[in-house]
Amino acid sequence: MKSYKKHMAKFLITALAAGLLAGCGKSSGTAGGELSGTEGTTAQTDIPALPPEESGGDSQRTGAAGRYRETEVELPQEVQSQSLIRFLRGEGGILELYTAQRDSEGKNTDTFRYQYLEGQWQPDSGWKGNEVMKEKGLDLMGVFYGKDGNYYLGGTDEDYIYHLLRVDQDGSGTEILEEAFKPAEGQDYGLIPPKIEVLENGDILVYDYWEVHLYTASGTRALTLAKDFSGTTSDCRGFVEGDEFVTVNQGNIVRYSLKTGAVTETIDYSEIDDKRESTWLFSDSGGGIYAVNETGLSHIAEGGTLWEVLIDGSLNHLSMRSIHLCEFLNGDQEDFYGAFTGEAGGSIYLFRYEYDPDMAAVPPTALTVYSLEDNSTVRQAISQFQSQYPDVRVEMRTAVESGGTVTEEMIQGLNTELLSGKGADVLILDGLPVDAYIEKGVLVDLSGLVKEMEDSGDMLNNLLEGFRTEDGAVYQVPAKVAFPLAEGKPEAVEVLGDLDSMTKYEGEKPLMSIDNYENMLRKISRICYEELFGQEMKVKDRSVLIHYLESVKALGDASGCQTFFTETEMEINNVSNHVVGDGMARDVVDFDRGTCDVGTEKLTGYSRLAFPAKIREINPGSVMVPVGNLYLPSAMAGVNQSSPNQDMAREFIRCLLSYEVQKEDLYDGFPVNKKALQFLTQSDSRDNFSESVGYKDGYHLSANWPSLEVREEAAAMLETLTVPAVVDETVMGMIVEGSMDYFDGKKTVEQAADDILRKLSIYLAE
Amino acid sequence: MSQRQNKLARFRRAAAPWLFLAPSLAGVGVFMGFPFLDAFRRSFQDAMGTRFVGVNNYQAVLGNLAFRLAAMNTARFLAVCLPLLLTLSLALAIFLGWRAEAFEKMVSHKEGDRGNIRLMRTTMVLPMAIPGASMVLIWKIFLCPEGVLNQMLSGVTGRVWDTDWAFSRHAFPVLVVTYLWKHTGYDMILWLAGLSGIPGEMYEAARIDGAGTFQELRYITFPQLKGTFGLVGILSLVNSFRVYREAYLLAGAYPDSSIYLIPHLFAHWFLNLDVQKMTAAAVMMTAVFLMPVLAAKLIPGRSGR
Repeated sequence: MKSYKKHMAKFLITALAAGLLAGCGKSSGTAGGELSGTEGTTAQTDIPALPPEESGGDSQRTGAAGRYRETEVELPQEVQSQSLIRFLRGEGGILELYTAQRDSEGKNTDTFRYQYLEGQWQPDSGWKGNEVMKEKGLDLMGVFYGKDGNYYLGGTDEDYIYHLLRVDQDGSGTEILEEAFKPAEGQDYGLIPPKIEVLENGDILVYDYWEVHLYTASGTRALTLAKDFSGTTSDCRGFVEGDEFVTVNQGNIVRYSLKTGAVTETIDYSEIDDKRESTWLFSDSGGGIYAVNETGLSHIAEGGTLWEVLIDGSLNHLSMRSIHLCEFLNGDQEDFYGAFTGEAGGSIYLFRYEYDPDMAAVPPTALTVYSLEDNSTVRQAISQFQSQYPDVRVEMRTAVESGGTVTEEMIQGLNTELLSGKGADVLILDGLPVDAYIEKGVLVDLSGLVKEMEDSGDMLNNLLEGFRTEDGAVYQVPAKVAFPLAEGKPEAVEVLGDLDSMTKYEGEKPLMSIDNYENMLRKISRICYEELFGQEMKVKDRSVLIHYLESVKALGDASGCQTFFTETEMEINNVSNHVVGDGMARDVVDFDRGTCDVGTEKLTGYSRLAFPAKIREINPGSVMVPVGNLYLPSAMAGVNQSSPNQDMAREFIRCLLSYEVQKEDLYDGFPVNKKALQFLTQSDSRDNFSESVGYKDGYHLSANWPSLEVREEAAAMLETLTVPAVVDETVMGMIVEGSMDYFDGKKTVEQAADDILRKLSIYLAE
Repeated sequence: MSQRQNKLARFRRAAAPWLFLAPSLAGVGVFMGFPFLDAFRRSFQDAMGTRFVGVNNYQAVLGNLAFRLAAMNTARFLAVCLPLLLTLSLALAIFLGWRAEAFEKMVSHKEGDRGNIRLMRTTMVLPMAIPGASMVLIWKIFLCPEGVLNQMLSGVTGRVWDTDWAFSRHAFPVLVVTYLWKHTGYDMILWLAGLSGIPGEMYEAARIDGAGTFQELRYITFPQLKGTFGLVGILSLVNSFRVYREAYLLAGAYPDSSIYLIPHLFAHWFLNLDVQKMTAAAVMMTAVFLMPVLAAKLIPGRSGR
């Protein structure tokens, strides 16, 4: 017995040791690893630019296969200048596209119908809807095909009152439910329904914002059903199936009986909800429900509790930031169609999602992108890249959620990965210690890629050259740039960039606008970047630092700056204690208000040019110029030296800088791609843009989309900028922290400078 | 018993302690020994561990002004805090021990007085139970320009005080006080445990021989607490390195230069991937702390006593 126990113990120890040793062994992962469940999948090798091992490994592997493939459906050329009204399945199950040509005020001048016949979109010249609406003086807003076999047209009149017309057999329109859309007593506007559905028996379901109303064919309101608020112009969260109505109420999908108005089923959809109020619900015609949003297409069977993900949105255009899903329909061959629009309803895109049984169920290759914070342009590039290479899954890892604060621990976490030879393939370097990464050899030299792109003539070379090191290497490239624009009196604008001239300026008004001192410090650090910072960090010199602080104090005193404003002071002076990263809080408006002789604006796109352009127009003699040759880069991309997918990562950066990604205005900066800049400059798609500002003292300013001439002027400015102004935030933080007592009069400038330098010298010595 | 059996028995006796120690040694080896050996190896390589650089990293660290400042500040902090902490906590322990003994001897056994002693002990240990972040928040409320301390001083002196105690040249004494406040109670408990181990008969015999309180302290208490002193000293030394958390929360990543400590520097080096400097500095620091211990062991005539 004793012997048996001994042998048993020996066996167990051996087994334990073997298990431990096996666990410590290296796994035989694939290139691009970290992709669980991908081993054994059928590889697709249609990635022309990438070597086979990076595009999915050898094609001999077999395994889980079958995925919806996204393909773009070509639309008629003229549709590109039109905006989408509806995409629906009409009479005979034919796919129909309704579009409008709009004027500069956003009103329809003409509307069109296209039908998808024999694999092609064909304009329907016989469509009478355009004439019908014009006759009635209505602006077409929606087209609906009822289950009763009739078409319905909805639109607003000159008083913005909604009218619903049923299209009769002869093509004429008969107005119905007239009373339902009239303003209630004492109100100016009536209901403009985001959606209308007509049942087989002719009953009409009218969507309101918080509820839906069921009207009988004779116009009597039969039911009102509660639903969650939808403020969009087309409510996507509801559909009718037989005698049932499915919508979202109190955060759950609910099924109502249209006979009794009672809830017959409640379905939890939190696991697939993207919280953007944009989950489209539609029927599978068998009692089940499809739900589609940025995360993808999911399905739940009738009476089921589990959502099955059919299409992963992160692998296609469903997750693309620059376009919005407008309609999603069932096809007739186990396929789906999704209609998307770009900014302001323009740029219509139509994609078909068709099941491909041979396509790998999960993309066999993974590329990881790391960024401290979310970035729209990077997201855009990810969608674009995945559309280009369906067999590559790009995963974006962000350290903080939207609105979160980046901490040192997050960077230390990334450093741990980098030190162990791991980490993401592509690093978005905004906020990371780039200089240290370059010095330590963490980043790949991208000079070959940059040269290739520069030589192609497609890039704004002046913006890329600023990142070339002395030995000719390029370790980081910006995907977007902004630049500081100065606007004001010519003599005032001229002194910007030189602290001495700025403090000696004597004009009618103070040189700069009133603000809190932290913004003032930050703003001047950018305006006088070369004098204060530059490559050599000149501000570490005591005399330079003292000059900086004294100048800010002198300029601030002249304008009435304070370290902190009380509520009353904020109200009187129209200022705030809010701190802007680069200090430029849109103070061009202050120049127009007459409180200073020069204002600055951080131009992140043409929309931010509206005020400066308008102000120059109404202030003859004023000028608008870039400050120095400075630009503010963002979405700085680099490739991890330890990445096993360096070629693919380079390809991703090429995609990030490509025309397709850069031509989208995502409000995060100008493109660095010359062709994309030209496209955005020439584009009139935002002609209906306007913005305005008003103060309690009666000042009011409104501006429209800047003219082509002004846009071209700004584009020309962008091509002259050569100095990337990247201020070290740690140093800036020390200066801000150490100088506030000086601005408050509690310390002398020497004391403040010495306090700052004590810390700065430690930082630099480290 | 045969010779072979004797050998086996001796081997078993010799191996037994090691078998009991094995789990602990394995833990220390895996989580401390091997990482330290790896750090030692990396201290002779470049940051990413791809190239041998000899002693360049050691030279770079020794020539680094930030390291010198941090090392100096850390040494100064230890030099000031350790004696203060050990003395203060011992004094409190003796005082409390004496008070307790005195009350024990009182005929009346006043319950209220016993309760006061328990309350005092609890109060002294309470700072250990407060999370670091909460503690720093309390100190900030106390020490900020509009804080309690300035208001008290303004009330007493009649002039306005708005000193930012944590961010000025006063930062070092502030850090010392916060450290003492937090750790005195803990050390006091350790001393009390040591005191309770001294047999009462020794004091009784001394008193019969006519010894006074100070003689008791000098000839009984202090010699008997030698072992406890070693334990309390080492624990206090270890705890003093943890003061970085308080310093960081109180004054940020770049505090006043007087409280810029080695952990500040290590955190910044790690942020900048200067792992080669970190490992070299870590090896040097370990050597500095091991030297006195090894010296004590190796001095002839003292080892093993």
